[in-house]
Amino acid sequence: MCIFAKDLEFAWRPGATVVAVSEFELRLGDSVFLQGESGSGKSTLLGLIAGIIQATSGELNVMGRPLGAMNAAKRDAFRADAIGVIFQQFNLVPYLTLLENVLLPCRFSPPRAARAGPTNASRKDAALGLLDRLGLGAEAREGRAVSALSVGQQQRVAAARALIGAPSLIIADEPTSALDAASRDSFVDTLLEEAKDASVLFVSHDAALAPRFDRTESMADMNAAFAPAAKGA
Amino acid sequence: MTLVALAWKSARARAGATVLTLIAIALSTALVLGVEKIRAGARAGFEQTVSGADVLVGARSGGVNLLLYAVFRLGDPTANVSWETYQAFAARPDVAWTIPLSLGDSHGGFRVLGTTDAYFEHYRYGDKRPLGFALGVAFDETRDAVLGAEAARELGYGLGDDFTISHGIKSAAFAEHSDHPFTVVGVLRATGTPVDRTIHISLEGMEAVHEGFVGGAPSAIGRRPRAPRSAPAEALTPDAITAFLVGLKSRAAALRYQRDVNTYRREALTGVIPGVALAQLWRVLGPAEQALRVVSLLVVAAGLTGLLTMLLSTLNERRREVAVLRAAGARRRDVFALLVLESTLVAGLGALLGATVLNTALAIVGRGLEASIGAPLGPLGLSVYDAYVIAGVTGIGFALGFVPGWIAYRRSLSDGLTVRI
Repeated sequence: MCIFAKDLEFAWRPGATVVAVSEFELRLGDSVFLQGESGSGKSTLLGLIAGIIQATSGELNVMGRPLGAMNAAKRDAFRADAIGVIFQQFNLVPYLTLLENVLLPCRFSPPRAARAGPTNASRKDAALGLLDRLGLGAEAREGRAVSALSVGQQQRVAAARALIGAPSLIIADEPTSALDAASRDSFVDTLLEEAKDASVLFVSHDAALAPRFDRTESMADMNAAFAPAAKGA
Repeated sequence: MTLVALAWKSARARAGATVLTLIAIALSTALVLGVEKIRAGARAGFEQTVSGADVLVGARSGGVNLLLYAVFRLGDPTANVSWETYQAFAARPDVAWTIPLSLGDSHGGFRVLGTTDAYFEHYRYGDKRPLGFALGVAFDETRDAVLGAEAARELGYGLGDDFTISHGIKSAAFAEHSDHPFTVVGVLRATGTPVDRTIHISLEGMEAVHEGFVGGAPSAIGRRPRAPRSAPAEALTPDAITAFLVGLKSRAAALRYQRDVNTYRREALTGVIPGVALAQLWRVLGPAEQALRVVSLLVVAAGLTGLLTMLLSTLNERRREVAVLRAAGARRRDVFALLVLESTLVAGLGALLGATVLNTALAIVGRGLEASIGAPLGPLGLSVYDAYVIAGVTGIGFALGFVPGWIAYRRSLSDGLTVRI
């Protein structure tokens, strides 16, 4: 099991519960499309799974590790080792080169660095290989500035960074919302192809993407803390 | 890529603000170091000016005042010591040597000092170093003059050149003693003391210049006897001198000698032990030195405040960057360390730059500056004090980094994985 959550709750302060999930599972190697509007608590749920914030109550295991029993530093280390993250936009550190951005997780996680390659040169080759398959090899070899890339290219660099060093789980938070339909489809296809050995948790409000995934979940159905407000609206 | 490299690239990405902050810190560091070098230099200069003399005697005045006008040529003498009194104190059995000092005239802005051969023989400066001749010899005849190194260089005089001296200390004084030209017979080696800025003539020469002057102005009657070029010394014995330095056979006798001077009944005198008077001078100057130091430290504080302002103002644009780093596996303490490192780097580089600029500038213009402030600067190159200041500024930069570091650390929790713009 990649993700297992039971009676998971999170509140920024008492009485203001934003996430209340009675049960959620993601099996190893599976891909889940998680549909949810903004404000549905999906970003908070992703923060919980990534170990950046900690649940108020309930059980949350990622890759068999109970996040509730780990301190912040251990969760940070665990995230660096096991999880690749892609944001909606602004995924890149502007003052690093394309290649440096992709190799960033290797800086923070020795296991991922080791899986990417035994030496700096081999890790660089691995990153270039990923970028080649994502169609950005030439730009990376040119040493092009991150700011000179289009939004679609930036998202693909972010995908390469999430994938480097073969993390077990890829979390993508609305990665296609800034892309047009054509680049959106090719982005999702490439991501799923490259991440076929990992589990993928893909969040989007765009239902058209759902058929490409093994399974679809709806935040509105899953999050008891969000549902009443949605019904009232 | 190490965190240091990451911090460096982050600072470089905001080059404009970073460079301006760097310059502010560099300038303030240079100011602190410069103030200290001038302060230490002035102090060392004063302390090196006179050594080996046990007692300085002059007319009744404050000890510091006497030291300033007689040895440092700062300010004007208040009154004179009569020749008879000088003779009486010079003839005491416990006296090894005396150097009479007669001041009051100038040439080209340089003080003229009437004295005797004893000056070249017994005067000591710095680490008990004697005066030496770069050119020529000591004065022998009435019209001979020996120039300090700087006086010779600035006036452009060499051996054999003639000049006249004027009464008073203004270089443009109207009363030039034009009837009595002096001839340069010697130039002293540079000492880094007021000796360099002094023109030395014999007491007889001094007296010859003033003959025919009553009360400091040319006599209306016009009695102007033209003294022969080598007048007999007896005929030109001065009535009074400004002060005299005394070397005793035993240093232990200095206090008794000083007491005898201060209680002398026939004339109101002041005797000071130069080291004691210097210590008094430092006590007087201490608060001023402290004030100067405090001001320069406040300037450094302003520079470092600029650093803090810069870091705090970039925190918002960093939120995105921090979220990306966190998503890529950065721990919260990495985020904290990144800001502390950047702060330390900018402060440290700024301080290093300031020290380098100051020391380079001093190496280039140091000599001219020494001449214009009349005191040698501290030793060139990085001193221990410089190293302390650089380390101090870097350390404060490190500590200041905790403020934005802590804010970013706190924020990286509430922001979570959401990238807020």
